[in-house]
Amino acid sequence: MIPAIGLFVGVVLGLLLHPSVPLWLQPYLPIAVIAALDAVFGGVRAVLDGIFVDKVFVVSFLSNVLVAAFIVFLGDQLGVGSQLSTGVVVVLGIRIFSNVAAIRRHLFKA
Amino acid sequence: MSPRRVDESMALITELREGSLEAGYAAASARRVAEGQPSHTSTRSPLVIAFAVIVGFLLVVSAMALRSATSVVEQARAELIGQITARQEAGDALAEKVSALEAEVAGARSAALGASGQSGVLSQLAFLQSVTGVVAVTGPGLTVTLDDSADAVSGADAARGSSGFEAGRVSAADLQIVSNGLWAAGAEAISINGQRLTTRSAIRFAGQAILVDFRPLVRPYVVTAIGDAKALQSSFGSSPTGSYLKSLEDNYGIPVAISGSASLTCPAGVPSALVSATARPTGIPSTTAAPTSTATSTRSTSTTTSTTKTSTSKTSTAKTSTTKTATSPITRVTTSSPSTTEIRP
Repeated sequence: MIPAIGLFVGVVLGLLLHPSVPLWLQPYLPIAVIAALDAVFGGVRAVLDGIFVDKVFVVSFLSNVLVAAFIVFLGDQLGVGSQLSTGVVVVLGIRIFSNVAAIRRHLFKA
Repeated sequence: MSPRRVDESMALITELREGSLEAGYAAASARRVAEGQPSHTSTRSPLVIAFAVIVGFLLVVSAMALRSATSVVEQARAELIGQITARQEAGDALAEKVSALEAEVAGARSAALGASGQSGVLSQLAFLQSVTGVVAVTGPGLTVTLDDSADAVSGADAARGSSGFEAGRVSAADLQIVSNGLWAAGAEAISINGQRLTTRSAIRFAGQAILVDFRPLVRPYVVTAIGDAKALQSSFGSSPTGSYLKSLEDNYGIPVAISGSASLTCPAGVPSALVSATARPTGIPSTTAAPTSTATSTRSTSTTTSTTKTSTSKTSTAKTSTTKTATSPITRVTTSSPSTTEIRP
């Protein structure tokens, strides 16, 4: 419950502060969002499995975001940025879907 | 040798689906159990809450940043549309001002000429203005209406001869022939679809569009001619243009309608700078002297060939001398460049 409140506080902060994102950072934002969602759903599933460890959550979040950003950066330098972004989205998307499926089985037993 | 897994070829997908949960969770939890701690930590640790705040912040910031990219495009578009309408309004206002000032100039001119008793000049000006298409003209006349044939409108049409135009479509050449025929038949003023033909008008085509004074026309094409309606109609109908229109109607299905009217109006044409030139009577020395001088020069070249030869040889020597002077600085440069390379080492 309290992390959910934290999430809400973050949303409100973002709405209030309304920071302007520099242009060079904008290609990384969608990838960062997908990586963060993957970490969040992984964390929720771990909570439901009873094996949640906060350090693992934070480390997995940070490493996901950094690796995804690095791959996109590398792709931009090599001229295949959009293809590598697609690859990152596919891999993280499949993980998100299977994690959500596991969460659904936990919650609804279906 | 271990048996092959059934889904061995799908190892990547299996890995993605089964390893979707971070392996670190299970490992860390097992380590904690081995150390005698509970298998999971609380979700209320400050670390988790801080990261929840960061994730929420990230979501909102990226959503707003990526959505504003589209709204920037729309802002620019709206700004451009606003600029276009503003410029159009400014242009319309300026055109109104121009016509008002022109009316003022015309009034002042007629007042000045009337005061000085030069009414003859005034009437001559009015005549010239109506003939050159500067002012609108109203009077009896003839309208010739041409339209594309039904085949051309529906799209199924062949080319007309070698001209490259579609057979059933009115071409710019057709309108040129019609307007020339009307001039020949005695028309005093002609306008096509409300575009007055002035002394500087052109009937042209650009692709499929017909342009009069660089303004595109839309079918049907109505050619209005002012003049003696009866005389116009009879002489235009019996002229070659009349038979040309008849052949257009018969061969290509282009509908042509010619009708006289008691009162027609040709609008004023695009105003251009008035240029007046008066032909002078004979007796100007420069124009009469020119042909005699050329005649003497040709005579001299035909009779004294030796002098012309020497003159050509002179010019040839002059040419070589100029080429020499032109080449000499270049050779100087080429000779100087090795010397500099010699100095360098």
